[in-house]
Amino acid sequence: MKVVIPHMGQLDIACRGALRGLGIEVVSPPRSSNVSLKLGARHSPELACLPFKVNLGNFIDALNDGTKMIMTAGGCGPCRFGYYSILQERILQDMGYRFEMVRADEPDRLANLAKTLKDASGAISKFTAYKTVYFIYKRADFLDRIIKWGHFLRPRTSEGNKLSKLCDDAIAMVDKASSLKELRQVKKKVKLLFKDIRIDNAKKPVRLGLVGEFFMVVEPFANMDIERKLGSMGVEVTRGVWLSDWINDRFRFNPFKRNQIKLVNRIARPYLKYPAGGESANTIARTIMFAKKGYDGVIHIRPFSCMPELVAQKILTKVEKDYNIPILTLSVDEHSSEVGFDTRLEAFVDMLVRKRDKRLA
Amino acid sequence: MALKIGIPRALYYHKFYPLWHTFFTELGAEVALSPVTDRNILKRGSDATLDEFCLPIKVFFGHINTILKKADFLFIPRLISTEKEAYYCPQFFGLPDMVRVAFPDSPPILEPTFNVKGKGATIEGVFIELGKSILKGKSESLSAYKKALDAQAGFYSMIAEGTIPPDVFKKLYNNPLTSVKKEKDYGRTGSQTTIALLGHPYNIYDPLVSMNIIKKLMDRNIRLITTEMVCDDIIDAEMKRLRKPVYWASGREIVGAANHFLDSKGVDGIIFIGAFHCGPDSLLKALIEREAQSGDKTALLSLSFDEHSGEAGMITRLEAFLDMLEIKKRRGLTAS
Repeated sequence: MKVVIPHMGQLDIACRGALRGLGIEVVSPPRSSNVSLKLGARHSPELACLPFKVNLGNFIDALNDGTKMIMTAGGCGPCRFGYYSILQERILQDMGYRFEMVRADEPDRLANLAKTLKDASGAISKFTAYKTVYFIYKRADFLDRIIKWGHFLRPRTSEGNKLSKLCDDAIAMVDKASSLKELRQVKKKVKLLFKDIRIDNAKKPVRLGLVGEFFMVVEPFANMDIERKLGSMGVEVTRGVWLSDWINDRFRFNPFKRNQIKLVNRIARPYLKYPAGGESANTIARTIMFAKKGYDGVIHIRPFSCMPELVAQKILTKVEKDYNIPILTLSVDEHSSEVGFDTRLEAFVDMLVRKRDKRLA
Repeated sequence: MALKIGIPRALYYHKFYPLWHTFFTELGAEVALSPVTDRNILKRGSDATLDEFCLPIKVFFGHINTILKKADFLFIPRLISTEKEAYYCPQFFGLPDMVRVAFPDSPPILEPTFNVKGKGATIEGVFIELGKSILKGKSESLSAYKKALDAQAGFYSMIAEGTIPPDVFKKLYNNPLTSVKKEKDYGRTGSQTTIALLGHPYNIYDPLVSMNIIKKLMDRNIRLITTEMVCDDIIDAEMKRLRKPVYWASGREIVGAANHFLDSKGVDGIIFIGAFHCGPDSLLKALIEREAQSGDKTALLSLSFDEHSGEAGMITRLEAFLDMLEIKKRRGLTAS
């Protein structure tokens, strides 16, 4: 059965190898582009947030290519994301597409994920479902590690193009691994490959935290590849959200890793007593953590009119003063121009570099 | 001297005011209510928030600004869920925190958390805690809460009879609400046009946000049914028909009522009022509009407001819609 999963960072790659064993073939829609976004936006409600439009563009592309089944996640609020799939299904039906949609309405619960997998592939046991989700976690964990290495190496090396190609190759290698054993072999190979990148230890990059709405942070198309851009400007980026953390916080595959949800809720509490859905508490808490670790600045990225992140943004104005850390908020929708975006990034980075040099001098 | 509790005339004031008012006055406190929304309040609200917030939130911050100096406490409940099926909008979760950031010199904030989805939390318990924070004992708070519940129930029954909330408030608290000038007879039926006016209570009943649409319709001798008047059974039944129930508290009511009226021919037309930048509205509006276009349904006018909306444009659209209903009726196209 061919199934399409919308692009969200490396989510489709993390799922593909794990679902292969169940007879589900995950197809990636064509890489999100301005064309597919325009198409998605044309059929979306005008004020829906950006992820809705990007996802819808992906679905249209995939259905045009002949895929008949969509797999997506839902949720039960309070953010809009949980209701995406209902409206997207309606829109696609109104456009005349014939397809089936399977969704995990409670992606936090394993039983619900198992049911979703069952809907897509026929009968599977709960144990198989658990094993599958575990494998997805292991893959996501390694993919995240590849990205982390990229974050560390990019500002310190002059071989930017080689590094980009290496990251892409490594991700493609993970994509091909369809068992835990193969994944372990890939890990060994990839680690050796990364040793090839020469780094210049004299370089002392500016350190920046990247926080915000989940989709915007992890999806390079939506955030206009902000991580690579910052990296090549000589900035070491640290992300505030990771796909592997999201999975692990819910299913505790790695019990030695701290539960990030509890941690960020506690740190954010002086500013936000009850998390306002989405990544609001995470955004505030990570900003505080970055400030305490001595980072030079924080970039907060969110879709235009995102409800939880707006609460966070309002509260960040106080965090910014209390912890004396510069914050740049970027609000993105389908009309955002990449040139304007780059200019703001460059100006912000220039300011941080100057500030740091002054402090060190 | 009695304690003064500041309550902004915004957001869920329009639905829960009888409950809050009775509770505080029963405990011997005085309620300082902010004035009716005007341009100046909206401007102050816009200055205190970010531009991407929705109109009702901006109005809310404006109201807070007007009562900052007039109250000993501000009452800003943190509404998360008051029924098992639904959440409020995420921005309500952070309201007290945002107010503290926007107005550092604000008086202490009473911020009871209403979350029946949480473990072991009851609404009764929240009110006892709330009473404790203004130094009242458990039994006192409990009896005040009982009376407050009665007041709220009385309010609901008056709505169910067909009186719209601003009129109920006028009767109960003699509030000078500008939306309705004179008492109207709601019971009339027959040839009178009936319109279902749907949207969040804080959009519909606020005279500035909705540009006094209630008065405009009533002046044209139109019978109104608002979201709050639709009984819960209808909403629940409509929710069961959906692929997935809507999980926002007033979103549930709006979509349920809209789907009900779109299919049944009980009303001549439906007017949906949304706020620009309202997250739930952006999706639900599309859902309702798509439903309205599928087959033979009741006529729907959907309006979206922000702080720049011009009143003339709204009147033109309203008149065109009402004319269309009139023509439809004359041709005998509506069954009622």
